Amino acid sequence: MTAEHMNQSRRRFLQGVLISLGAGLSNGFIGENALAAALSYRAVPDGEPYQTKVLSNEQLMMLKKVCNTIIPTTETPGAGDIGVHGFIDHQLYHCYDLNVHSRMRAILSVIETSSLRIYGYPFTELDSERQVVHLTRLETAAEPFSEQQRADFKQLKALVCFGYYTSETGASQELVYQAYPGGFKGQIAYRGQAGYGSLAYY
Amino acid sequence: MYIKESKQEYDAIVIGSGITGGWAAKEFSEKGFKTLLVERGRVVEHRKDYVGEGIPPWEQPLRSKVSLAEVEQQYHVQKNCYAFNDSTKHFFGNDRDLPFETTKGTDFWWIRANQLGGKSLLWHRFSYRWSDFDFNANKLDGFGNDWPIRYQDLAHWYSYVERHVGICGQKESLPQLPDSEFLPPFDMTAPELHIKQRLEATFPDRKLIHGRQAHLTKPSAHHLAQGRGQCQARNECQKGCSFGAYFSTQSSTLPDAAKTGNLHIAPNSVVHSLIYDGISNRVKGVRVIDNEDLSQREYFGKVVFLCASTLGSTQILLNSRNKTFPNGLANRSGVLGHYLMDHNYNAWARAEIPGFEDAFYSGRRPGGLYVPNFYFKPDPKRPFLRGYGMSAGAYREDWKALQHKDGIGIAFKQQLQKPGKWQFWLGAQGEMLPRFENSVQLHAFKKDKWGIPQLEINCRFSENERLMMLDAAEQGQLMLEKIGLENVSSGQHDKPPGSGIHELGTARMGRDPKDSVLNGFNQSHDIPNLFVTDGASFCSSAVQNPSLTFMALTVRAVNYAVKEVAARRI
Repeated sequence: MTAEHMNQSRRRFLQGVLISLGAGLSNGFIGENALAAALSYRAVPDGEPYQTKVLSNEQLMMLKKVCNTIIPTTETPGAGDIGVHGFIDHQLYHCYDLNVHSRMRAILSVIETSSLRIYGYPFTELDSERQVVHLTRLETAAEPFSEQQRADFKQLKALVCFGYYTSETGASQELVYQAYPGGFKGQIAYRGQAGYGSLAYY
Repeated sequence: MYIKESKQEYDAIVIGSGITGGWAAKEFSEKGFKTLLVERGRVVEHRKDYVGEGIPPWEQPLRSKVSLAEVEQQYHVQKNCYAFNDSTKHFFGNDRDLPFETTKGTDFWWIRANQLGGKSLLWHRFSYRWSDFDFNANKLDGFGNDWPIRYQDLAHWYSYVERHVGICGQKESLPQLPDSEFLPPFDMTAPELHIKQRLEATFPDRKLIHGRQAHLTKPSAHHLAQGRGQCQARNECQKGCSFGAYFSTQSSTLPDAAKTGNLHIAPNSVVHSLIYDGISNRVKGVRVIDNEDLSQREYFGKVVFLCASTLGSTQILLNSRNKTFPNGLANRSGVLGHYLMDHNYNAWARAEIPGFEDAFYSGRRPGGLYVPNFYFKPDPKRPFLRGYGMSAGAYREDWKALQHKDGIGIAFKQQLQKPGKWQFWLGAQGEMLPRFENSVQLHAFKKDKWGIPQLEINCRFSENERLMMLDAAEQGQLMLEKIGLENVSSGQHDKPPGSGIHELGTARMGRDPKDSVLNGFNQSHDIPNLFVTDGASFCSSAVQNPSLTFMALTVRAVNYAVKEVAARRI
């Protein structure tokens, strides 16, 4: 995302507000926040150079598989398809301490070494059914995994979910993104529709 | 409207531009007083400067999170506020520039908002009147001094501010929680209505009511004329609201004040101290350090209103000590800096609501429900004094809750697409006793970058507050079990004072100049043209959120001051 992109978002937003209030467009809008835009993560297509910050390139590619195993491709893209693995590397670097970095690297190693031991193949080369089985065993602390490994995997999984459901795809395609609900209605019927995307995450 | 240097003698100087300062500026300027609003921070303009508003999460650099380095270097205290995130951080004080000390063995979260609008941009907007059960409490059990006012002194002023602010809620005719002038409440959800009915039938002394909040659910012509619009139920208020749908200085009081042509604003003006004239026994003005270049200047006025936040106002008075008032200006009583209070939010209960799978809601309600204090009548059999209210609400789990469940793959993804179970929660908001030893003083030698002595805060919750939270957790558990909810749990936090962000006291009102700083009109007993109308003036905390009450106190004090000026007594 670029500074100009953020700028356009703000401009469109304020115009919408002022029109809804019946006001003119005389109010200005805030200028770009170039620094914020520069810091922001942009998904990099596979094969293009991406300088990892916390994970190795091998770990990053493995994490991509883990992302797509946890949140796979359906009618909407999976977590790995939209670059959540790169997002996690970026987010770990900016928002988490070294202890978390090393635990996340370690749990990726655990996934890999246990896959080799159990199946004789690296995790990335397992078929998708086996990948699901493998991560399910890890998440439930089934043999050979420990409770601590389960806890670390839960944290990695939470990062995958956060990265996915705060992405444009996750929030507005997989879920329903409502920038302006237009008011609160306390009672509507639920007929199985997708839930609301998160806007106010805090 | 914005000034820097000025030789003018203003009719009124208002220090601080948050909820009370905005009101004081509006009232004075509408009454024809040439008014100077002094603000220590930068200008924040309505709409234009709400830089975090309307940006979806995927366009935010860290998807709403603040980087670890930034938190550690600049926001190690502010990060504790529930509303602190990347879209709001610019409205929080920078801890690096705003150091304070806590006495050894104590802790205090001092949440700051030093810009035009102050915490009116960040507040949680709950607005409840106090009743005579609250104003009588100190007198009945002897903790703290007697409030010099009663409900009838404020009732008219509550109505006055409510009509302007816009408070949504529903009439209930409760003795402990007088009704406001209401806009329609936000809807309750289906399970909330069910729980309300069950709870009130099972516990006849308890009510579950609509939260009362400063939101325009249905703006009146008066609100539309302020340039404000209807609440969109985004629940992102603290980013700033370009609809002006919640009350803030920017959306509501400042535009009115500006319209009069009587208002000047001096931003980036950190008040160092008040200028006192011993011959006339009047405050003559304020000494200011420039927020940015640290240069000094002075402003002069005939009446001075301190609205700089509870601890901000008291810090200014303490730092204005002189030969006449060696322990702090207007402090002949010796109680300035003492009887610091907050609210205690350290107990909770939650449960799953069975059923209601076919019920849902639309939009994000920026607030919830409320269980008014059911201990409002003193009872010697209770192991603690005073009581608590409870915030409450129901919601359906979304991906933020469901992500923690076990599951990998397509079924997991499909599960997160749908709303989960209904959940109900209760959070206590307990009264904190006014105690002399909970206090602030100027640090002996540590100063901030403006050369102002830092505050040293010495504040603890007492055994009374601990016993109250124990009870609140037990009662919460009991209530949710008795009405048939499932998987009920409850517990306590150990958050320190300040975490409620309802600092109160330290320059309290009272009838007797020997044990209070201010009289019943928020006027200094010692110096007639000096008023403090923010939370510092409170004698007790009650259980209700304080903002509506200090709004009412402020407009009442301005009305009084204007008459006193006309009668030449000030």
